[in-house]
Amino acid sequence: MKLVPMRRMGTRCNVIMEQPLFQHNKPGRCVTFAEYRDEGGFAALQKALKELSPKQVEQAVSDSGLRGRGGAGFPTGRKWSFVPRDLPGPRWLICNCDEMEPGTYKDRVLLEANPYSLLEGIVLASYAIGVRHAFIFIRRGYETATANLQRGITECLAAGLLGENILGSGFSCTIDVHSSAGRYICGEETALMNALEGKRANPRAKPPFPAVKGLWGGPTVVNNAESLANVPGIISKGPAWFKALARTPEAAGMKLFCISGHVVNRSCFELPLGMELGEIIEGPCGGMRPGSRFKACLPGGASTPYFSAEHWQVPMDFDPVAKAGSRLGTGGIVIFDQDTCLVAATLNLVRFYARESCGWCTPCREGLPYVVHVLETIEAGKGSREHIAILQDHIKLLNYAFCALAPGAMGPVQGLLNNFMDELEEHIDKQRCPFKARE
Amino acid sequence: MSVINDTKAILVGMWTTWKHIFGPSVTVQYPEEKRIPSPRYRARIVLTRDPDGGERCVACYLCSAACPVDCISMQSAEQENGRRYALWFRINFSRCIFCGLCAEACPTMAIQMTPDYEICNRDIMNLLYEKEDLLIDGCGKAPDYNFYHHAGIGVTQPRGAGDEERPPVDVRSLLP
Amino acid sequence: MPKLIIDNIPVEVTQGKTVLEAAKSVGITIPHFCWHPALGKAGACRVCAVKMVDGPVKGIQMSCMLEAQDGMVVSTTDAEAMAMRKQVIEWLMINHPHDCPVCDEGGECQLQDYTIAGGHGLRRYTGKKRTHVNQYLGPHIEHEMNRCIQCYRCVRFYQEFAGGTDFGVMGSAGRIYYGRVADGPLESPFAGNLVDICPTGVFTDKTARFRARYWDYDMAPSVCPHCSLGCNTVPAARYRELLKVIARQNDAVNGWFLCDKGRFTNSAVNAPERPRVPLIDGRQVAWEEALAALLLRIREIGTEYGAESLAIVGSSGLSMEAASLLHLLHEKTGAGSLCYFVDAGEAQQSATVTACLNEQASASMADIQAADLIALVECDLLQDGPMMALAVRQAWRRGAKISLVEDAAGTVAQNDNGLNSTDKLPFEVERVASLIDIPFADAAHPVIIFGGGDKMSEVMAEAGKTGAKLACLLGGPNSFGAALLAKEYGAISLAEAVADKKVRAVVSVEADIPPELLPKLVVVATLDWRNTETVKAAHIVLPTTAWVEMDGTYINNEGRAQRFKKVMQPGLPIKGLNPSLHPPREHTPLVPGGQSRPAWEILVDIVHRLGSEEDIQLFAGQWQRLRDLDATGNGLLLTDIERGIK
Repeated sequence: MKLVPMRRMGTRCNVIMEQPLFQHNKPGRCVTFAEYRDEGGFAALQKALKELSPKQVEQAVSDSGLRGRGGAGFPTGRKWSFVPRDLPGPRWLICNCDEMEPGTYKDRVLLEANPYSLLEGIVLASYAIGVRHAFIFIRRGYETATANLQRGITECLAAGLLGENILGSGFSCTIDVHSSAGRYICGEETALMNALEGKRANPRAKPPFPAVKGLWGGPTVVNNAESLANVPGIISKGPAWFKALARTPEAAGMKLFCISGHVVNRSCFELPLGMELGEIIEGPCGGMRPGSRFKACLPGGASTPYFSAEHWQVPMDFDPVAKAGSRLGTGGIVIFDQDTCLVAATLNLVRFYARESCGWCTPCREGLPYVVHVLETIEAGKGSREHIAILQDHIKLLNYAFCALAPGAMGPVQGLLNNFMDELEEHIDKQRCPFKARE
Repeated sequence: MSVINDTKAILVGMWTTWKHIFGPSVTVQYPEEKRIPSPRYRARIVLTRDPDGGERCVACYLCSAACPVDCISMQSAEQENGRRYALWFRINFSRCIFCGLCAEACPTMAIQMTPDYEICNRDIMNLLYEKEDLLIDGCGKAPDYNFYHHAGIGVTQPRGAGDEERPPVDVRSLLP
Repeated sequence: MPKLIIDNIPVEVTQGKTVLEAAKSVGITIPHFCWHPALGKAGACRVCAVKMVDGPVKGIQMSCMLEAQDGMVVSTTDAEAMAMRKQVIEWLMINHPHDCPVCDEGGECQLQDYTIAGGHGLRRYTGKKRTHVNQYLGPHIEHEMNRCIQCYRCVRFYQEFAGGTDFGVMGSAGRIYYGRVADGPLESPFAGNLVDICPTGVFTDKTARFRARYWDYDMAPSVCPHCSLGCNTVPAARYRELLKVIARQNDAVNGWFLCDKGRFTNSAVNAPERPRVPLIDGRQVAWEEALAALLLRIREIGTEYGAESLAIVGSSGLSMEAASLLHLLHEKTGAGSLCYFVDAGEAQQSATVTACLNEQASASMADIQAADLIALVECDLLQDGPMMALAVRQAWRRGAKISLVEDAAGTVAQNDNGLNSTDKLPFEVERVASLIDIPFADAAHPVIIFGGGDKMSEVMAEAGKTGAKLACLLGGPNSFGAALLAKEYGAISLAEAVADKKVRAVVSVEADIPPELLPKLVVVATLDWRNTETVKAAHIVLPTTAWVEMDGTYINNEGRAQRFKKVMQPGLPIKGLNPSLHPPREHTPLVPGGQSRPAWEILVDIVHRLGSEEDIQLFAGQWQRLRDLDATGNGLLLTDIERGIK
């Protein structure tokens, strides 16, 4: 195991661990095509096209235990296996780089440092599923990352790693980068497909699932950028290697944790899955900043319920976090200190979701502004106990919306009611926000 | 014995009636004396105005639908400023049973019942009251309510300017 | 056929039906807004929530999105499902304006009905409502966006079902707006259906604005008289005025919708200049006098020009009841000619069509929707049968190929406005030079739609050869019936009668004598309800009832007989009447302007006065089946025998 300096633009921290995604990072700039190749890049692609069948590639990814890094945590290999191989017509692969979940910036960090892992991963996935035309759907604001990807695609085409007859294997695949013209809801896979097709970005009903009927009616797989970028490592070093990278035996691989909030080091770290929350905060994050004591954190982006100090020892992996009442989501950890009003924080988060609703279904379009109004009322010191009942009704009933945006939006509210009910009641009983200076 | 019992029964009956001859009489010598009903007494129906002086009645047909004897009829129309009003409004008081269901149904507090019960007439056709016979200048029992302040259709204030409203959405803006 | 249990009631439905439809089939109406039988499911409103207690799916589900499967156990009364429905209504009411009293939809509003059903009552939301600015959408439809509950029905109908392009949805989240890019009349000829389809009062009928409430309407099942398709309608009238027309469901004919022509061009019924009183030479008289004068004048014509110079003229707009009695009038007056059509071309076309269109070959609009290959030959769908264009569009959406056969000149005919109306057809067509270029053999359900013209025989031959079904656009609502009668009684068109048989005088029964013939003829009498040129030229005017003022029967273009029922009393609308006439201060049984009588009733009266003693029965002999026609059914497709085809 090589001692690899773990770097990110601007900060530095030496830790002994492998970094499947960040190993090629160069300080202050994007890695070049030549550097990536010389450091072992595209070896996985060579190996797969020369020695493995598509089914073997898919099997390797399944065996590795790789779970979707975009928030849902669905096993990637299993998602690929849903694509019916015998239906006529084109199949599609979409890399979801829309990354609009508040607190999440890992894909940007990855692509600004190294677009090639993702491109190699996309070609490998296309090979496994039988896709000839893949898309990268990237949010419009990620201009540097988009430029890196465009440049990378040009370089790969020139080197015969993309396009017709890749490396003489007979397999052909192209990648197009599409800059989103939309908002947060485009990150939802079926809304993404609608947006790519030029329609309004409303989600579609499932079933039928995209793997069977997706983009332009054909079988489609939508994977997160980080998930696809992990595929080359799995193929070149094997699924067992990938699985062993994790801290606990049930977990598999490493995760990009993007940290923000009241800690010393607010960076994106590639860490083994299964590492305890406290260990992450005390370790790579450098602990709470001076004057701050840990109060709460969002473990995986804005749509996850809060963790409190009770959850200090929860292993940060999909199943343990779920068992503890939250979700690992995208791994965007947002840490709040003792001076943070969690009612105000929740209000801020739900306001975002209310604004980003696509407007298709009633619970999200009307229910989220209702929750915003209730939280505003409570935060302004005019709340009553009935408001808590209204919030509980909404937490329960927003699960029956058309897509996952609404239930996700209620994550912080659920966290507030489950773990910080006393703070909420204090707002109501004192008829003011205790964290605001008295006027 | 039965004769004594029967006699006693008759005498008790007569005494019960007799004692009223010298008691106070409850007859009200109408029309020299008039009984004043309470304000909520249900008699003559009026159409009231809102605090700004406009007619409250929007001719929504709810009172005519609620009326159990079908004594109300009307025709609604629209003024140029969008205000809905009654082109004509008729109550047939020969049919009206003064039940008050119309006043209960009215959503704008327009139609109300007053305690004025002296509306008899020798010619039944004079008991057909048109709008001009029903309309009064005051607000009646609801001094503060103007329906159009809450209706949101832009009659008494511009659209979106009501107390419970946000300004109209700008469809061409992408901003939230 | 999946079997499931809904609220302890066992239900069996066909494969593909949703749980919502299964519940409807046993009388359980689950509240819904965005689902519509013609538009299908959307899943937007979330109010149709039910609890799946057992079976392949469990938990709260939307009944309109879920296909009924074997073994499902559904509860609509489960506490969580009821809480969800109540909450959805509360959500929709957050922004809904407080304008029920001034909204035309009140009384027929789905939001009102399902709010009561959902149990939502007092408002506990204390925030502010979002508001919108409205648009001018034309003279027929009023726009009030504050009331919108974002069910997306309007845009799904307008864009997906009807193929319109100028109306759509814009914005996101709570700012969603349904409208045009800029103010202006809606361009689709089916835009009027937005009024029927909107569950709240966003789109209301501007022509009937503030006239009456739903519970006061006089309504009855009726049939549209504007073209030969016979779409089913429900006219709504109040105070002797026809206020508006609503579409009525008929799965074999118009489905759930109507075209704007049938919906918004009915003002002739209320027109003040409508003939309502019998006239002799412009002078108002009583019926007795008018009828006596009629008999006198007929005899005078006979004396002056000879009885053969008289023609009895009907039309394709005349109800079947009256049309079937015309021959009696012809017999009793000894008139020379009996005409059911005025125009020779129309008579010829109707005759040919009815001679060949047997029950097997005639395509209903449901057949057209199910077709996989449609040929359009010499027809102007948007002019002569707009609802048929809508049916063709549904076939096209399902993947059918539509071919347009160019006419002899090599270009498609232009309509009166000089516009090529095929450009506005809501589907794509492939233009071919001739009928034989179309690969009928490859299709399982081919249909030929024909508008009438020179290609008739070619069309009939191709239909016979390939087994394609045939749909023909005829001239009027009862063209088919008129043609059958014309064949039975050997009638010819008036144009021919004037040319060949030297007709000099006519008795016209709801017929329009064209301007080139009118000066040559003496219009002895006319029975009509419209103030046409013929009526103005007539010596005696006998006012008839419009279709909404009587029971009657029309036979549509495919040979389907449909009954329409009386909606309202004939008479001058109460609106505009002299206040001294309403309320009536003198009580008489006479309704002002109410002397119109159904045309068939007048004909019976005249025939009796001409000396016929017999009791005249409507629909005797081969028309027996029309006697007890059920107005609420799908009509009665005439058998081959009834069509006179052996």
